[in-house]
Amino acid sequence: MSSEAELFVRLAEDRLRRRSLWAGAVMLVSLAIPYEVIQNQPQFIWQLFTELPLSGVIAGLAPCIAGLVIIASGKLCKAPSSLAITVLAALLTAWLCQRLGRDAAAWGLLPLPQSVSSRAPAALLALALTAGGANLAFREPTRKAARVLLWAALVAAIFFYAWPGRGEAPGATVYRNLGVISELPTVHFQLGAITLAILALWPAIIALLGLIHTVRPPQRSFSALGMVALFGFPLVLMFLLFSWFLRGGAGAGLFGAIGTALELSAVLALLAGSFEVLGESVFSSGEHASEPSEAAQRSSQADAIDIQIERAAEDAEREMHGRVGWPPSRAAGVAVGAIVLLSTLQWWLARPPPKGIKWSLGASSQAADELFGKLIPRWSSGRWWWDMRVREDSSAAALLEVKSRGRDMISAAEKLDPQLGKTLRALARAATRLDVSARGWYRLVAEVNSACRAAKLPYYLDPQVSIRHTKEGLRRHLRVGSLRVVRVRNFAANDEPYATLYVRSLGKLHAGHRLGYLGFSRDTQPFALVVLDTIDSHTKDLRGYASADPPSCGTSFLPRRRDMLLRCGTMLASINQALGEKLAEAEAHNTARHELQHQIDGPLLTLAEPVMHKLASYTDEAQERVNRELSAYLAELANGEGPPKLALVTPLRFALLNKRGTYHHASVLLFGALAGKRLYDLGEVDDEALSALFDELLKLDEAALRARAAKAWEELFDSELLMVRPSGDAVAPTATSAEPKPDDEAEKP
Amino acid sequence: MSTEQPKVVGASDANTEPEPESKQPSSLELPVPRRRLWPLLLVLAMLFGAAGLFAYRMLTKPLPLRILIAIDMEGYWWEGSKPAAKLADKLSAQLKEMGFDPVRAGDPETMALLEDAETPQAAAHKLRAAFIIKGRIPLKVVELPIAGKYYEVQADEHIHVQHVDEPEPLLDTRLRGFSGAKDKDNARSIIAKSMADQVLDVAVPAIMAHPHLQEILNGRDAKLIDQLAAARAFLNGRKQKLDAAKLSYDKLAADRSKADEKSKITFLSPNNAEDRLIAVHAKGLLLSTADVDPWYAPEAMKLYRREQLETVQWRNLEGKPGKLLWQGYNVFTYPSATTAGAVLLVEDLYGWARGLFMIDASGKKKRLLVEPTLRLSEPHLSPDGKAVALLERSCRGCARAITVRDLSDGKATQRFRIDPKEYSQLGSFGWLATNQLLLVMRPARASRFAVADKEKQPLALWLLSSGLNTAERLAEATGNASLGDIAASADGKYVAVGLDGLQSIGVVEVASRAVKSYPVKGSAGALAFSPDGKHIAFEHEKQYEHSEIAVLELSSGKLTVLTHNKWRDRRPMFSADGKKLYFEARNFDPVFGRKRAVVRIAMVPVP
Repeated sequence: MSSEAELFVRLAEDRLRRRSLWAGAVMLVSLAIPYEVIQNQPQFIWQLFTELPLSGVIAGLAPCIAGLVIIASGKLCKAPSSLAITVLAALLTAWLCQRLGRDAAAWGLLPLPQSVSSRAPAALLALALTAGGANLAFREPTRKAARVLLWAALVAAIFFYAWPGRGEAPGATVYRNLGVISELPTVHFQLGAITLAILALWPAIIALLGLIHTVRPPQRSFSALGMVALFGFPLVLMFLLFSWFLRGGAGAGLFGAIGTALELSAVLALLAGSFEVLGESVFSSGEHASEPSEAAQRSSQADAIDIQIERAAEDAEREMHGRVGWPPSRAAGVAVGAIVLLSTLQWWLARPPPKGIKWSLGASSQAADELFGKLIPRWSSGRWWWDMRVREDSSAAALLEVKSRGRDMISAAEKLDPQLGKTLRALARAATRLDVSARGWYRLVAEVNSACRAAKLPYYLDPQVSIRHTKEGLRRHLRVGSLRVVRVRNFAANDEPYATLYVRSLGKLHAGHRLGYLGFSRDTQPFALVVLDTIDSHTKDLRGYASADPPSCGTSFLPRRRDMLLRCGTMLASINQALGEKLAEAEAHNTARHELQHQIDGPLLTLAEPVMHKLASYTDEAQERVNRELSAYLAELANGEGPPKLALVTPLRFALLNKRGTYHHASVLLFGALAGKRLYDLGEVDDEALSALFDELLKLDEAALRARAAKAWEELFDSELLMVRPSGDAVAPTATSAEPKPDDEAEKP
Repeated sequence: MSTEQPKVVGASDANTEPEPESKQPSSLELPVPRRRLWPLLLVLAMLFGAAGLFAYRMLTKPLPLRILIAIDMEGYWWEGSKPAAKLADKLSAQLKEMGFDPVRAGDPETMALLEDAETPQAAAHKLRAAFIIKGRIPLKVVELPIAGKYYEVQADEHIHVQHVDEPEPLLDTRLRGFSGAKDKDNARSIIAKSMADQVLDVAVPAIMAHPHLQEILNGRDAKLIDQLAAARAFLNGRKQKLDAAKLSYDKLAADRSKADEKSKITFLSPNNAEDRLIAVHAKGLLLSTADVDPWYAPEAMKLYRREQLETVQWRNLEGKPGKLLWQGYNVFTYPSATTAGAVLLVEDLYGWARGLFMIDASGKKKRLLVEPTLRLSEPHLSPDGKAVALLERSCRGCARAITVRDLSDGKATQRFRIDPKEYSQLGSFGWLATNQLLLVMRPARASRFAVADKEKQPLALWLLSSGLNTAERLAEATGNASLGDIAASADGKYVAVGLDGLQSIGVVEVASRAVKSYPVKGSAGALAFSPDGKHIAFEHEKQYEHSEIAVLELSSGKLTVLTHNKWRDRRPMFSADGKKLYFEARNFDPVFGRKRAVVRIAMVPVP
């Protein structure tokens, strides 16, 4: 390599080394960037460590650890290519860990915050590749590498705009938003929308501008476009933040946003520097390359003379000690190994929780009923009362009451089963602390449930954690609901086990959950629950609709809706007549299938396009909820053990009798999916189309309706709907004070 | 420091001859004189030390508004005492409302710290509390003999308010209270909350008067001053109301004294007392008391009265407290006492029952009877203390029966009874002597007391004697006359009766049945013979709720009115030597209105 080529290689290396220091430091301190600001109070990731699975913690710490590795590698890596590879490996590993950790956390109680999990890597890649390519385009020997990087930037940008991920592709969003700019009421709004559009299109603009350097080299080694690509986006963000500051003053939110912009700059600088160094190392072949233009040389040489002196000293020292660093291939091999190892570890840690449960139900007893029906609910409500007050007010009496009730509960439990007493003692002890995490609470309650299962006791404690945002941060309130397990149903889908518990509430708390749910499912738990109390009251309502004169699924002032409800009533009356006393059981089975689908889907279900369309202006959480309910409704129709037409009643009522809410949207989208078209216009249900569809559905036989629902599911979520089949049943034997035995067969294989 | 330009290693200049090397030092550091670093390090260490001390001081300094509540009530709350926890909770909430920063009881971390601390004072330091409210209030639990159980809990102890850095307490005050409930824990809880109110009432003024707080209030920290706005409002409101209350009582006392200036009346009770005169003996006065403490409620910004347990107690003739005979929720109607000093009272057991409670002359106490259904009242002990005559009702509006119960068996067995169906009108009753009961009654036509002419049953003063087996009429009311209160002379020879319709007092000579009437120009009630039987003192009422104390000289019929005011003076009783009259000076309470009376025991010399 000529001395001039060497000089430019050194320039890129030097840039990367300096960036590895400052950008690594920025990433290191990114831990101090609040991931979320609630009521102007910063919330930091470490405050959530106890709430997250280990993989989530790793995800939260990944940028910080990556920063540390990058700083260390800037000092330790002798060969520039090794440094670039290490930096890229650290960034990639951090991203993978974040990605996997986010998915794992989504199954848990507390999803990772958006600020950590929702970075757009392709957009960052596009900007960094453009910056690196633009700098490399300065010299003829590296122009080949520059062209590769610049075209790669464009590919990355296209990928970014075209890839829909779990939802709508960003390109489509931008296109849609551009389309409405002209419809915005004032210039003020239009300017705002244009600014946002420019921000959204920034990766594309930069990548396209980068292509200029494929034909026209820049005038300086650190090109203007390279600078814009690196710092333009953070700069624009800073302008917006300054405007925010002028309007709203400084606050934790502003500092959080500034921290995020700095972190973004750091990542971009590191990526660009690494691409530049790697581009030179991989694509330039040393002496054969022609030199840059004379003028360019002069300007660059003047800039580089000090560095040359420093480098010469370092070279001498390096030669003296005989250290030249690892060759690129070796560094790459080690980096790939590290990435694979760490990502695999994180993947292993981030596996979704296993599903399905084995539970042999024994008979209940008066002592057990006393414990689960009275003592535990009393203790739980006492703890709840204390927990709600203790942070604001003095609550010594409440604490003593919790302890006293806890002692009663433990004493009764120990008489019933020593292990149950032991697990309840652990739960009660933890319950008198305020720092017990939600995960800890779930674990302790799960241990009680395990003891119940081991003792064949037909009871289930439902851990309930409500998380509130308060000025002081996230606040958890923990309690348990006490339920009698009437029946445990096991299922298999695609050779994976799943389960549902059919439960009845004990104590004053209905269903151990908010009253009104027919069933519920938690991603973190291995089973779904069907609440028979609510099923009973719902069945009573259904019978009421069926026996009305004329039968109707509800009332509406709108004639077309009234007609639909009447037809629904007629259908329901015939189902009721056919099923008789088995109506409740059929409703329970359909509910079970609905909840099972939640278990199967988990939190990472693909976001269906109609959901995105109908709820475009809603929050991600709202979209997720509707999306999951839509999937569950369709699965209930397609694969429920009860009559599929029975599964139409509730969605029809939600669609016609409610105006908003998760279940309304999900129901409207359900019928839309069955119709294969949108059944709403400007948010209003298209009664005519829905009426026609409902008629059509009524005419279908069960198999056809199921097939249609399955097909609709597959079209929405672009995969095959898993058909679950019962794989075992355990029914609690009738005991002195137990619930009446369900009328279907026990121990069904 | 060298001023030579550094040479680039390896960049040799071909035209320059290398200079001969000077003698290389063995180390580059040697030619440079070593600076003494230790002074710098010492200064740095001192600076860091000072900064550290300052930081430590700032981080451990008591917070001026933080208060630790450490009141032992059957243990501390962190030791598991529920009453102490209730007290801490309520007091904390109130202190917080006032802008203080009470240590949150019930917080597990605080609890752990308090459990580990050797003393509450040490814990207060760790918790950075500037003030500590401490004390030990033992609870006396009395199980009342009521079916289904009922508990009375009493508290009477001192509490202290102290600044953690000062050895002496800011406040050392006595608090009293009681509660009653069917559940023992509930009774404890009620008294704990009541004590919290009392503690607040006395602790906040003490804390606010502390120089540190005064410094804050007079300082420039607007936030802290604003934070204490509620406490200041409480203090101002409390002072205003308490001062006004004191002024009202003082004014009433002054008005009374001024009105009776010429009568040389001496008041023996405090200005706001509600004392009742039971008996006057040579050794002192037997009183029942029903004290209240005025209490300023911050929420309502009003003055309320906190009732104390009622007592029956001796006081000396100057009104100084003497022996406490009984203490309880409510003594119903006036107790009765013998000249020997035995006392019998009807106690109201929180509305669930009434009991007969006896304190014999030796001071021995015994609850003789608990009646959950019968409403006992107006006990009259026989002179020998072995029987009691009293009224009984079976319900609130039911007619009265008079019963005589034997006290000698310790069970108050009923010995004699006049049922409501046996009379059509019933008046006063009392003992003439042992086994001789006086009674004003109009018999029913079908009763054993009915006279021959069934249609004309007279209202008469009856004497039941011979073991109450015989009844005879000592005097009959004539015309429009009505027989009112009665009194017997100490020797049992005379009986005085107020003749209400005739505005006179009738005196019956028991032996001869002779009746002599003394006009008194008004109604006469609460008659009392002087020890020598020559005078009768009585309430002389000319108009409603306005009665004076008067004395009738029996030999001359001279009437002397001793008090002259516009209020009510009642229940006169002669001193043992007959030279003084003790009576009740009664008014409506000037602070709490007609819900309470101010009753002070007063003394006036007999002319």
